Amino acid sequence: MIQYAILMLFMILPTPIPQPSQTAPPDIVAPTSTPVPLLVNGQVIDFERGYIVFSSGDAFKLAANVSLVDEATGAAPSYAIAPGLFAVAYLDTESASVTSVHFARKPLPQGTPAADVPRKYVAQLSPSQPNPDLAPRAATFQSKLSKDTLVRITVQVPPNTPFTDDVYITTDTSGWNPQAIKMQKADGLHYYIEVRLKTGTEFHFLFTRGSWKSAERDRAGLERKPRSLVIEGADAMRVDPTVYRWADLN
Amino acid sequence: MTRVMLAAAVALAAQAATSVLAAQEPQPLTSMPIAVSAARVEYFGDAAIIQARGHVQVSMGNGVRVEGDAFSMDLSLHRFLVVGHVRLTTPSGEMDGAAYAAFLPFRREYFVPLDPAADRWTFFNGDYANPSKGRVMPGDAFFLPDLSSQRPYIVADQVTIDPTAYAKFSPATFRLLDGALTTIPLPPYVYNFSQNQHFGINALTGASIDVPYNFAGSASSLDAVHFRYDPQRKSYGSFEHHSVFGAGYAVLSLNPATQPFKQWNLLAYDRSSPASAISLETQLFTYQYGLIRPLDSNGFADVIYTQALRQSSARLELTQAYSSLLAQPALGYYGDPSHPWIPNHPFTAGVEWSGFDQHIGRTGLSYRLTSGLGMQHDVFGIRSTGAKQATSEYVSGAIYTPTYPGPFGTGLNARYQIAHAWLSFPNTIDEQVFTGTISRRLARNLVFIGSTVIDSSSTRDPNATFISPNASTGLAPQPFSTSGLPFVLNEAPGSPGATNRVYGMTFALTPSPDFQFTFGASKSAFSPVQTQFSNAPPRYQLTGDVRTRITRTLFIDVQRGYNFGWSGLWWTPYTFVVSAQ
Repeated sequence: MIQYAILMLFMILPTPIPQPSQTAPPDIVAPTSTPVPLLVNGQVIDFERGYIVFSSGDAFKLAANVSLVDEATGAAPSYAIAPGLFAVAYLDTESASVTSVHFARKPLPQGTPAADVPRKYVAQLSPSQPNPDLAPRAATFQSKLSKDTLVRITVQVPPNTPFTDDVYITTDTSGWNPQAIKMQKADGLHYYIEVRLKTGTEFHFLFTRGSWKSAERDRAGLERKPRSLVIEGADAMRVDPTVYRWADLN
Repeated sequence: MTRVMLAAAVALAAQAATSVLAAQEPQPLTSMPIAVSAARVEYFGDAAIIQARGHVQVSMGNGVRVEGDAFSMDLSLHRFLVVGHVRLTTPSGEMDGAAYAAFLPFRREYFVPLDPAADRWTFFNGDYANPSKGRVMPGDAFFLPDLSSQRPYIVADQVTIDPTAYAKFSPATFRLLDGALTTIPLPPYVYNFSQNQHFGINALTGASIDVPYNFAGSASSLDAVHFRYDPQRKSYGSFEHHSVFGAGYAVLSLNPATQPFKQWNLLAYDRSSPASAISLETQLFTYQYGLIRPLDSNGFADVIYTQALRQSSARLELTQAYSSLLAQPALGYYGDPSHPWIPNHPFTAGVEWSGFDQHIGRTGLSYRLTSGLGMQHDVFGIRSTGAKQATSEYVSGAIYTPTYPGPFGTGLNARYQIAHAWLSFPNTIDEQVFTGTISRRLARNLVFIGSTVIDSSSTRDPNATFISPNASTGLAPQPFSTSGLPFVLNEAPGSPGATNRVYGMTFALTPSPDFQFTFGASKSAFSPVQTQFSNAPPRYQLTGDVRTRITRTLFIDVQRGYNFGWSGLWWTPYTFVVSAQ
């Protein structure tokens, strides 16, 4: 009964307003005399001459007594510090130098990517200059992060194509193998194929009936330049080319 | 005057701005070999990446050298990098740093010097004396791809890379079947990835298994030995050479090179102008041990000149064949009767005109017309006719529909081809082919096609023909006929007419781009005679075809048919094709 009365009292009374004397949330805590290290994350490409350099091209000074740790064992690395290892560097923001580096063979989850670290901590002799080359472009380029695009190619073949013949795509990426990609017949005049390609992929291709003697030609029967396809950022693409003639058929 | 100067200054400024912008776009690559040596060089075929580690030394065609701990080149992006204890040696001096990257299509080189302090330098167009200092670099300029989960396909000590065409590994150790099988170090191997399709031209006749080994190459040539097998010749070796130039090529082959019966091939093509081209195909057959004097020899040469015309094209084709190239033997044969002397050496000439596809008003129908003249001359007589010379004329036409929407979501399509040839024996040859299809997408990944193909042919005299290797005469049917008659007539020897009606249905299932399955069933009605003991096609046939991915880049295609015991044949042999995508 008493407990119920206390609960009712809390419900009736107004909620107390936080006072300045109360402890502030951690994210707005006042700076302390002990600086918090900044964790720099990335792939290491060099470790020499007092610097650790990440694959972004960002170099950081090493403290004189820098400690090296293998992230997996917690001990000093038993392997040579070679390009390609991944690391988290503990950067002392006071001295702008790295006091400890944890190495691993796979990317580590914690820390700030080296490219996003404030520039004042990055060792760079010359003042930073903008690079107009890095302006966004119409076509992107393939990278590990590129997504797959479903590409549907539907080709119309000449009317004299033998009904039982198969149609293939030959590409520069397959060493111009005349049977690299086999197409499915859609009807008497059309063949199709769906392939998954990474955004930014560029390749050149031609159609064949299985050999270079039966490769496609232009309308006049002359050799044609390979077709070019650039996969741009989209979930799906359609390409509908036409073959006018085959090399071995009039 | 002031206005003129002002205008000129504005124009110059605009041009300068344009050139700077233009330089940012990728430029066509030039052939420049990059020689890499290291403790270990690895080629990862699935990723199209070459990596090297340990005392890496890179020498470029412009005299620049880069040393470092690791090297990586993405063959598809045309960039490479050297990282770790980098020493860059250029005409402007030596520089020590952490990383170097070359973006070849953009003529940009990025360098992180560490002496006297860390910095960022960008070199433009090979100007090492005037780096742009402090310029921001692409975020992935020095990213070393993590390929620890992949196994290399080739391991070597050295590689020479031409970014436009090839990479030559020396010595080459292959790791096959995902590393399960490793070869001993083999002589240099050239991996060709040129965008020039002429490197793919094949001058070797078919074999069941063909394993090429490219042992030499450049941006304009490729030499390979082929290890081959087929049921008739068993195991043998062959040789093939490619040369590419401008818009042309030449391919020379010797197949087989290790057996007495040899075939020497030379294919050549040159685009003599934007509207014309000339091609050459020669084949020389010899029976010889090694390269000593042949016991027997024959061959032919075929030259085609093609000229584009307004809405059409013309082709002139000349063919000279020799049934025996060696001197006439006293006994009438060379060595033994299986190598007889055959005196015939026919010369065939053909001229062909071919029109482009034309629409018939707004009907949706299209047509195509072709005509030609042919002549064959052989002083020893043409086949069994006894005639020393024969001429031919032919006309052919094709009319076809687009794919019309039909009932129940179907698509309907038809085409009709007709050809008529006059021969001077005299004789005439006619052929008509009708093809009709009905197709329907039954599900997202399942297509049904029903088809009717009626192929009919007739001639006044089946013996009054000539076998033409010259397609421009209109008398070179596909597939190749042994009598000079259309294929369907060739299947009914001695008959003046033949018709083959094939009714088929096909189901094509493609649940994913990595798997295709096709099932077909057909019924054939051949006249005049369709018995199991004639050349006639099987009355009923089932076919199956599965194509699936076996590795990231390799596909296997397996085909087989069932003939219901026709001519004693129940199952057709398996056909396997493994190809790289």
